[in-house]
Amino acid sequence: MAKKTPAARGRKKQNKPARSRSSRFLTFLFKLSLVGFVVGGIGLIYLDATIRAKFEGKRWALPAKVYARPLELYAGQALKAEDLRLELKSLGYQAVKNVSRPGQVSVNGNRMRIRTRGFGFADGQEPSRTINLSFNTGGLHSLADKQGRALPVARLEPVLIGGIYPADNEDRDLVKLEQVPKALIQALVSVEDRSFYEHYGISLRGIARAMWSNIAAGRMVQGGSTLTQQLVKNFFLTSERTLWRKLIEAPMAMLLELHYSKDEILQAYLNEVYLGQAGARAVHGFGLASQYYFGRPLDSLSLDQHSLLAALVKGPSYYDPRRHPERALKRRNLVIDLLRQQQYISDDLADKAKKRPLGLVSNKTLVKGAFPAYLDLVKRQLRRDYRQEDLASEGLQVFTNLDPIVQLKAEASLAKVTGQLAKRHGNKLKDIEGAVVVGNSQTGDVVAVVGGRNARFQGFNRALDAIRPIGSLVKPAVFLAALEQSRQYTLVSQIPDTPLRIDNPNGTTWEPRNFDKKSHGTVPLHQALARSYNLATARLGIDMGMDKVIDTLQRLGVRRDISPYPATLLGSLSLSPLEVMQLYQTVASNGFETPLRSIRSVLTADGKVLSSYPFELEQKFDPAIMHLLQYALQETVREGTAKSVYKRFPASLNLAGKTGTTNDQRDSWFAGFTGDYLAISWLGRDDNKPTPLTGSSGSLQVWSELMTRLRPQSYQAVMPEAVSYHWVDDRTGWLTDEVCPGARLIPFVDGSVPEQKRGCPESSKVRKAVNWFTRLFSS
Amino acid sequence: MTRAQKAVLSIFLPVILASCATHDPNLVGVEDRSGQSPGRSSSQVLIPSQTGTLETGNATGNESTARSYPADSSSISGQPSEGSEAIPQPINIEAPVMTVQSKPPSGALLALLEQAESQQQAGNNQRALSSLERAQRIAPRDPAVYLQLSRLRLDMKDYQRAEQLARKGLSLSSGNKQMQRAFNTLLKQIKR
Repeated sequence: MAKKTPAARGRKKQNKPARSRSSRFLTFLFKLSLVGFVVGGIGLIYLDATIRAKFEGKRWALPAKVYARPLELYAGQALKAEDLRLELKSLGYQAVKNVSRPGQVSVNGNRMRIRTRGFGFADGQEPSRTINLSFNTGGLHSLADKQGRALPVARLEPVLIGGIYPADNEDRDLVKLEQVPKALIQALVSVEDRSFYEHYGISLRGIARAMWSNIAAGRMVQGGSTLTQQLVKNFFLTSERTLWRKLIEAPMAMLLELHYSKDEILQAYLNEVYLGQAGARAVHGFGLASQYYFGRPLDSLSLDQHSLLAALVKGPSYYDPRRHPERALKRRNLVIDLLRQQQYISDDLADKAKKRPLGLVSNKTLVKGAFPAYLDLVKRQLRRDYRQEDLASEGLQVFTNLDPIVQLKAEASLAKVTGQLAKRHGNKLKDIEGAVVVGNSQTGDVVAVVGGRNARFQGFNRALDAIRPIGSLVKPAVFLAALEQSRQYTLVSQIPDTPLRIDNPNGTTWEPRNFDKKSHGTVPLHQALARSYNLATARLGIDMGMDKVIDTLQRLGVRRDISPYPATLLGSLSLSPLEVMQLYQTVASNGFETPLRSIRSVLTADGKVLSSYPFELEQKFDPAIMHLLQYALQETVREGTAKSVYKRFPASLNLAGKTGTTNDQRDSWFAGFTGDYLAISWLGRDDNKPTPLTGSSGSLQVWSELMTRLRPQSYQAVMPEAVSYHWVDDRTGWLTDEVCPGARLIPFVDGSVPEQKRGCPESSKVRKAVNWFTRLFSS
Repeated sequence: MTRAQKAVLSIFLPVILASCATHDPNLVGVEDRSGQSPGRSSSQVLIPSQTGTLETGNATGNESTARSYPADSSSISGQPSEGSEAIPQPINIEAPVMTVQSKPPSGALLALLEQAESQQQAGNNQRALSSLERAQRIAPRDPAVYLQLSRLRLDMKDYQRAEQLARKGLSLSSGNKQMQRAFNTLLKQIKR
């Protein structure tokens, strides 16, 4: 329009004499055009500036990525082949005959060959490499590189378990054009904009062709928009369909083409386009779409899979391959046909590709978002340390301690045992709920969090938010407080387990009873804990004084207010399962308090360490004293309230733990550790009504189910220098001979060994069989 | 286990451990970590004679396969059955003092400790820390890990963490005189 006007003016000037009405009209037209020219020009300049500013300044809000721990591979690791296969499946590895590319695995009997993808960790780049593995009954037997040389250690990539999304819930994995396979671009161009590389932003031929195909087909099968126009639409313009938007779309597309290369435009398009909906999360870009539909990175997809992704551009919801597989298949095959038509692929290849199934991964096997309870813990920590907008937009990489193998076993154990209990007890346990937390007994790593029976459900997270009385789980603190007074108390101190009445500070009285409603006379201290006698514990605690017990609980890691009433001695204190884990962590790691960690480190999008959460520890107890407590906790499992656990484990495996049951059996607890794991299990009802379960008949069953699946290492106590073992007569607390009846090998802290000794007549001597306490340090 | 075997054990273990002591007088250097392995592997060599058949867990529920545990050199065979045998047999009470780890130091552990060492020497303390935490996850009860972690923290002038790590390492070093010496020296350095 602007160009024509000056020419028109020229013509008019030749007919100067004829000043008529029409010439006045033309002058007006000229002036109007001039205004139009200026206004249009300014508009174009404005649009141009907008486009350049937005395109160049465009940074997608990149949600933080949350990763599980990377699986370490090394000879001698207790890793079962099936668990490794599960891990590889979560990572989207392809099973093939011959491994040739990263992300592939081949299995041959008890041998496996994998080609890892490599990954940038906080401590450096883990290279992509070929690893040969062999398994035996103990686990991973050997590890070798491609040439067969022994490899000391290798790491897999970490499984992506979730993200932290911005308010619009857009999620994407950015890809660079170089990373995008040619076949995908060909498929995309073929179906959406075949003259993409020739046009200047809009394509008249494209529009014409689209109209022609639509008329021929009698319905809309093609749109006339170029990829550039589609990008402009998504990128710069709001989603409202106004005339104004339609009008400026074409000039904007042309301006975009003027300033940027086809490659730049294509790269932006590949990352921007909307390709599906995962719940509230909008799947944008081909990088994420590949993970969402196939569970694998873009460059590992086959021709038919690339074609399916290209097919989805037109309508991700209409062609949703999970909900409408026939529609999706039909459109995918149309894309393949177009590729053949435009001679990108041969007839043969096209036929083969069309025969293949859609090859989607099930929505359920996608690990992202599969562990809401653990992610909840991670997010709470992140929100303390970061701003929400940084988490949702900076593409941070969050490395956690989640072990998906342990997590899945913990979920399955809780589901299985609660299912069995509900069946056995019928209505009384219909809505029984539970929680499990699992950690590394030494490092403080939280490796699994199960927030309820339905572990996929993102709701009430009982592992963190069910604050319930801990019952007898508190007792180790009472006994620890006593043992710390090593001149006064040893494991064989004789404690009366007899009825008592205590006046509370508020005037009420407290009259505890044993679970079996009996009193057991005088019992050795170790036995009072192992059998969880309430009366003996209460007497011991009262003797010590509440201050000492409260101080011990605080040093063990309890951060809540603790009531000074004596009921605290028997577990009126309420904690969440995670808080209980903190308390037992200090016990399991010999008196060193180690804050529980769900996050290892946070890296920026380009791999720089932003913050790390290093291993922290603080010695709170003398390891020698803690050793005595650990003895009693092992006794609990061998002979006390939790002895049923050995129905499922070999005697050679050392375990330690404590059962807990609260008033009217509202809560069933078990806290226990092995050489490598510390796990807390809780069962109860959300409405806090009584259950028929004790700690032993409920939570202990979940715990032992889990440990059976985990194949834990034996707990090998390291005997502190200040501890020595002596044979003691349990009934008197005096030293005796090993061969005397009732003799028991008991650890003592230096200076507390009993002075009296009484042997036994020759005739009563017995040969002791190997007993568990001689196995404590084994070796 | 027969009395003869026990006698052999009680004589040989201290001898072998003692021989380690002379074998490697300055365990302090990280390069000498391997110096501990003879002590540990000696138990590997000797102990199998006392391991009998491994019991298998009593599988219940849907788990159809009986589970056997990985051969654990420390396991002693036989169910405890009070007074079933007639001959009185003394149990070597000294045995518990041998806090021999049930697993030999793995190649993985050594490789990671070495990697951390070279990262530290290259001045990249954060990476060294990450590598040592990898090592810790593989062998959370191995004092060598804590020795190196503590030294690294000392190097970073982080005295408080260095001290706590040394204490933790010391608590895992019972029966290992060299390790104890190394940690005690370190604790003195830290407090200086």
